Parts: sequence; structure tokens; C-alpha cells
Amino acid sequence: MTKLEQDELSSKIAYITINPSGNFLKSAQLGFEAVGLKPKYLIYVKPTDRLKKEFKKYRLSFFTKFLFPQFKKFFRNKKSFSNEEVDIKIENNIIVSKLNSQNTVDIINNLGIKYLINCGAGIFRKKIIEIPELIILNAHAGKLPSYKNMNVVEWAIFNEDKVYGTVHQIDFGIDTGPTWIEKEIIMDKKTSLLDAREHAFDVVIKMVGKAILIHEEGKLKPISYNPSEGKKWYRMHSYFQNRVEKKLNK
Amino acid sequence: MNTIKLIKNHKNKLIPIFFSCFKPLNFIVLLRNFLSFLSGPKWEDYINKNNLTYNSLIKKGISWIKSSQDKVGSGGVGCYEFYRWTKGYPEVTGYIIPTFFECFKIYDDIDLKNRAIRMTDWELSIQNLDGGWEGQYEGDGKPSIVFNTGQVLRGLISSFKETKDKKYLNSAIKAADWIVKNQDKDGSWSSANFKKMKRVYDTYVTAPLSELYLITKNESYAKSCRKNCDFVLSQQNKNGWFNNADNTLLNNDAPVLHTISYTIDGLIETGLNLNEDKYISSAKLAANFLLHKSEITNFMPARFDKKWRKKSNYSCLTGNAQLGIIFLRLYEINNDVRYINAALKLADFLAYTQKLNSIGKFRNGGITGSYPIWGMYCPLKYPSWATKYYIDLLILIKKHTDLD
Repeated sequence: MTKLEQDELSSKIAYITINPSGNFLKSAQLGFEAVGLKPKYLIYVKPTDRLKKEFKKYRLSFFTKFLFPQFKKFFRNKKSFSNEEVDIKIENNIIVSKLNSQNTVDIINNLGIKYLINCGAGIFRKKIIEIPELIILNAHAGKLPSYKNMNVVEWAIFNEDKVYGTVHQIDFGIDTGPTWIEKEIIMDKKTSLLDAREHAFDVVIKMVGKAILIHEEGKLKPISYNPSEGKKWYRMHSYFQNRVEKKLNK
Repeated sequence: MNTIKLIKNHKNKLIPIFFSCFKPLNFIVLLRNFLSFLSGPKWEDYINKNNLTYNSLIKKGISWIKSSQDKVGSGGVGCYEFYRWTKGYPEVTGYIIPTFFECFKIYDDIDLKNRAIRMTDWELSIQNLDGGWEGQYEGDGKPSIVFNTGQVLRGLISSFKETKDKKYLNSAIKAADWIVKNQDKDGSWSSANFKKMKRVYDTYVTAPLSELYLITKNESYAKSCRKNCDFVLSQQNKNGWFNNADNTLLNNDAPVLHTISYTIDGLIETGLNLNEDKYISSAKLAANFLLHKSEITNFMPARFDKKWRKKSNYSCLTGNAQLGIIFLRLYEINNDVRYINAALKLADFLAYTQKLNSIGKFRNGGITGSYPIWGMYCPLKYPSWATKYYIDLLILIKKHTDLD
């Protein structure tokens, strides 16, 4: 791909996130840079809805239980999951107040975005998914369809299965869209659960750029599943987390 | 409209309950619930974070049931309401008996065995001539009810298994014969049931009935169980939700988790006893929807409509414990660890509410009807069945993990 073609492709790619300072976005940028791409747009979904939801949930302890820990975690972070300093500028930052709004649809249409990279934006509804020609990609640290939903890195380790990174297209279900590419993630020398998770996220989000290139070259063969196939996993209880930690320490 | 009817039905209790709210200890409980409800979920990993042991929580629960039995005095177990202890509840005492035998085996505490026998002897002393047991509390003057009789059957069977005393078996057979005799043609039990309602949670009767079939080999019991469970399967929607699953007339379109869980648990037990996979599959279908719900919400709502959408802002604690038990039974069948994972979270939530509401000796260790305590499932009440299922859940968790 020539520089011109790379630039043209980059102008069709946008990140979408509620956390522009998150490690996820930084790792994604590194992954794109490695294949010569530099997505031009960042759609920042204001976390108002999420905050409202969390306020409803926590009420009295909204600040201590939710807001302060979030600030601590994300405030002005410049690092990727692999702890590399990332200072790659994104040309256009666009702010939207709601993910699944007509405003978001209009922005995506007007900018002519072809690939929307989900870096933790929330759950996409019909309105966005059905935008013609738009492909929404998600990086998932588990083999599909066996490991859908949450905490799949730790569940795979617990079950003594291999951990996979999967780039898949988003459709109406959770982790049910066709798989574009997958790759085994080697977990050597990971001594803690957090370490293992961050390593897996780092590897998988960096795969997105490569997946787009393969797609553009017409060499991609997506694998589709029946949405009812496989298993949905949920937040792991500390009882199992401790067991995973023990396995990692072995 | 529902609230007005509810007030009408309970008008005699409302005044003493209202004044009891101002008693210092009750007031503290209410205040704690109010603050807890406002501050949001605090029960994530509660048992581990607070260095609690499952044994200590079980013992607290047992101790509460023991004090209930002592307060009631007759041998039966009752409930604590904000202003009084109720009389013994034959149905509930019936299914508390196996729990006490189980605890006796775990802790080698002979007092628990003796108490279970006292409960069973009390049940024998109040068995109606027709073979059944009255509904509601002792002496309420209600006729024999199939559902309640089925639960006493559980106690009789476990007492027979523990003591080999034929009087328990004979009483169980008399009860079972009465249950079979009163079955409707379609397999349901409506004529001898609460408010003459045709309901699916009678699978919780077929479970002990099928167990009695395994002991007596009386084919009429197995036939009756199959007939009822087939009726229940005909009431299930494609998404696993059951029609006619609530124990009220008013809320039958959004049944409570407690009776939904009776239905599911009954199907599993009956399926296992009679080797009928279709009952277990039906139970699993409903349980898997509830697994998803319990994992994605802060707490399980008490009521669900036919699309499994939440229909209440409070949680039925008995239902939570029962659901945890269902998950662990399914784990026993298919070794899927996701069920243990969900059950552990339910146990954390229940342990949190146990601590929250344990103020003063009458409340210490007991589980309330709802969270928050004023929720519409047994409001301002410590029903003994909530604590019973909580103990059962913790015992099962202990069995399937290395937690003590």
C-alpha cells in the first residue's frame, strides 16, 4: 500500500470511546501505527449517560464508590497497556453526547467513515449498526464463540484453555458478529491476573489495524457463528480469581 | 389498585406493624436499610472482604431458626414480624427438617437432629384426617392444601431416612395418597390448593412425591408426578418463562422469583428422581435466563414479566437463595462453573443483608423477606423459609468449593 493509499484509508477510520485517555485507545494507536495507518477521527462519547446510570446505582456513595476510582484510573493517561508512552495525535476529535443518537449517525455519515473501532464506547444499537457501508470492529480477548462477554481472559486461564485475541465485526448481539482474524495470545511470565488481562488487551487491540489491511486487500474470510452457539461468561468472583492467580504463579 | 387490595387484605396487621416501626431496634433496621438502599450495591465479594466464613454464616442462620422454634414452642418453626413471632408454619417446618438433618451431619450437633425430630413429631400431631396439612400457620383453620402437604412430605421422608421409624413413612404415604387423589385431570392441582389456583410451582410437590416413589415403588406416585410436570411444560414459553407461576391472583402476569424458583427446582428434582431429561432441560432453559439476569444486575428483582423484564424495585431474598441452589444443582448435572460463580455472588448479597438486618436477638442471623426490608415480598418480616434456603445455599457452596 502506498503512502497515499494509507492516508486515504486512515481518513475512513475512526475510534469511538467514552475514555479518550484509556490504555485501550493508546494500544490501538500503536497497533495502527505498526501497519502504517493513522486513524483520522476520534468520536468521544460523553459519559453523561453512564454517569447518570452509575449515579442511580450508587446514589449516596456515587463519588467514593464510582467517580473517584474512575478518575484515579484514567485521568490523563498517556500509556498503552504495554506501558509505552503514546503521543500520536488524532487529527479530529468529535464529541457526541449519546452513543446511539441521530447525531452520531449523522457524523459518521458526513465524515464518510467506513471502519469504526470500538475502544469501549458502550453497546451499539440498531441505529448505528445499520448505517450502510459502516463496519464496526471490536477487539475481544477470547476465542469466539466459546468465550463471549466478560472476563474471558481469566476464564480461559481458569479452564486451562488457550487465550485468543479476536477481531470481530459488531452485530446485534454481544460478541456474536463474524470473526475477522484471531490469534493465540501467549501468556508466558504473567504472574498476576491484571498483568495477564492487560497483556491480552494490548495484543488484541493492536490486531485491528492488521485486520483492516487484510480486509482492504480482499483476503479476509470472516467466520460466522450462530448467535446461540458458544458460552457467555460473566464477571469472575474473587473465589475463582484467586484460583487463577495461583495457576499463574505456578 | 394492587396496593389498595393488599391493604384491605392485611388491614388487621397494619396498625401494629406501623407502631412497631418506631420500636428502637426495628427503627434501626429500617434506617440501615434506607441508608443501604441509597448508597447502592456494597455486597460485591462481601463474604471474602469481611473475612467471614460460610460456617459462621450457616451457624448464625441455624441459631435464628432455633430461636424461632423455641419461641413458637409447639415444635414447629414460625416467622418474626416486626411486632411478634407467628405460630408454627407446617409447610415451612416440613422443608426445614431436611436442612436440620444436613446440618447435624456437617457439625455433628445432636441438638439439631433432636430438633428436626421434634419438628416432625409436631407435624404428625397436626396431620388432618384426610392425610393433608392445613395451609398457612397452625390453627388458622384452613383446609388441607396440596402444596403445603407436599412440603411436609419432604420432612417426613428425611425423618424416615434418618430414623427408619415407620410412623413417618406411614404418615408420608397417607399424605401422598391424598395428594394423588386430589389431582386434576390435566395434571395440575387446583381443587385442593391455595385459593383454588392452577399453578406450576406444584413441581415442588412432585419432587418429594417422586422421592417417595423411589422408596415405596408405588407407580401411582410416579404417574402423578409425570402428569403434573407435563402440565407445567405446557405452561412454559419459548424463552423459559412460566405462565401461572405466582402464588397470588393479582400478580400472576409477573410472578415472584420465589415461586418461579420452586417451579424450576421441582422440575430438576423430579427429573433426576424419575430420570426424565425433558424436565431438567425445561428447568435449565428458565434457569439460564435467570443466570444472565442475575449476572448483569445489581440485585435480582423480585418479579419478572413474560419477557423476563424486571417488574419490581426490590429483591425477594428467598428467591435469591433458591436460585443459587438451582444453579448449584445444575452445576452438579453439567459441571459448568458459571453456575457456581453466580451462586457465590448471590451468597455475598444474602450475607450482606443478613448482617444488615441482624439487630437484636430476634433478628440476629435471620434473612428478611425483601431487600430493602419494606419490599412487597413479606415486608418487615423475617420469614423462616428465607433463612432455610440461605443455609441450604451456603451448605451447597461449601460442598462444591473448598471454602469453609
